[in-house]
Amino acid sequence: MRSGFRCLTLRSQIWSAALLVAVSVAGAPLGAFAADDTQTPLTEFKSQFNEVRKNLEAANGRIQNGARAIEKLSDPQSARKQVDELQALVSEALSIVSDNGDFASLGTKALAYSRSKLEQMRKETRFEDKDRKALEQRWEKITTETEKAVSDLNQAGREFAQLLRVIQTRGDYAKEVLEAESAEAMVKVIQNLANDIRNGSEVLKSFIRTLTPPDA
Amino acid sequence: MTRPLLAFAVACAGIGFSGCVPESGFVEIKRKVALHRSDVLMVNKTAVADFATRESMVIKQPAGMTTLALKRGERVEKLCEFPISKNRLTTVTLTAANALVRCTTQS
Repeated sequence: MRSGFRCLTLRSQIWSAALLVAVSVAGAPLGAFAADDTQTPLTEFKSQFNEVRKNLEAANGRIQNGARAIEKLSDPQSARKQVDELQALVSEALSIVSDNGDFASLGTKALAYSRSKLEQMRKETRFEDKDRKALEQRWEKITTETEKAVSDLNQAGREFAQLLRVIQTRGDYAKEVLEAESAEAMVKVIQNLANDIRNGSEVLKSFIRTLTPPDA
Repeated sequence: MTRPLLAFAVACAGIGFSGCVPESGFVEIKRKVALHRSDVLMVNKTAVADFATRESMVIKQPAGMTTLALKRGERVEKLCEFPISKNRLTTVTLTAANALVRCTTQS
């Protein structure tokens, strides 16, 4: 099987070029976008967390709209197209929380940083015992919250993967039904998929709402 | 060349490189076998961090043939090879059989 490539539309290519020109003409040094010295993996993780949650919510909303659209379908061709679009939407959301994505790697770094700070506070000798203990307790809390945030994001990844599995399997089944039975039966299979997606998506919606960044 | 012209030239060249993005899918790896902490799971020669301590992982991969291998010390054992399709999930389950790690795939 060969690797495939998806080519961007001319419009998006023009936008990419325009963006590059704008950045270059503005003459902003690249260093200006780099994190400042006070930025730690933990603060970076926290600052990106809410953005990721928003993106997941938006993606989930588009998935729910897709589920509504397939209920109204009447021909196999548009049913197939709609299933492909849903797979693309779920893939987009899954990309955000996949275990080898940028955000997952930032989560791993944040957790390692938090654990190292906790270890440091346990061994700290510079401060009075009362102060050291207070800092240790603070880092214990941050570490627990970071572990939970990372674990919740892993769970979100598993939920989106499960949703993708349901859509692709029902889509494959619909194809087989079209071949062996009728176009009408195939469309019915796809329409029934709407319920599965809605249920999966509702679970995700509630889950995404509970995602909380560490309080660092 | 003036600065805006240079920027435009760079942007146009950039289209050539960024106009096409690789298609990708996902591999879900489920671990049903105990691994040593030092064992490293390799997906297309890229190490998967902390896999020995996780029960499952979802990894984004470019569409095409993907190879799963287990690195134990200096030895690398190829486990399986399977296709990844655009926007699809392939589930790979690692199990133990006769003291060896086996892999079954479902796409």
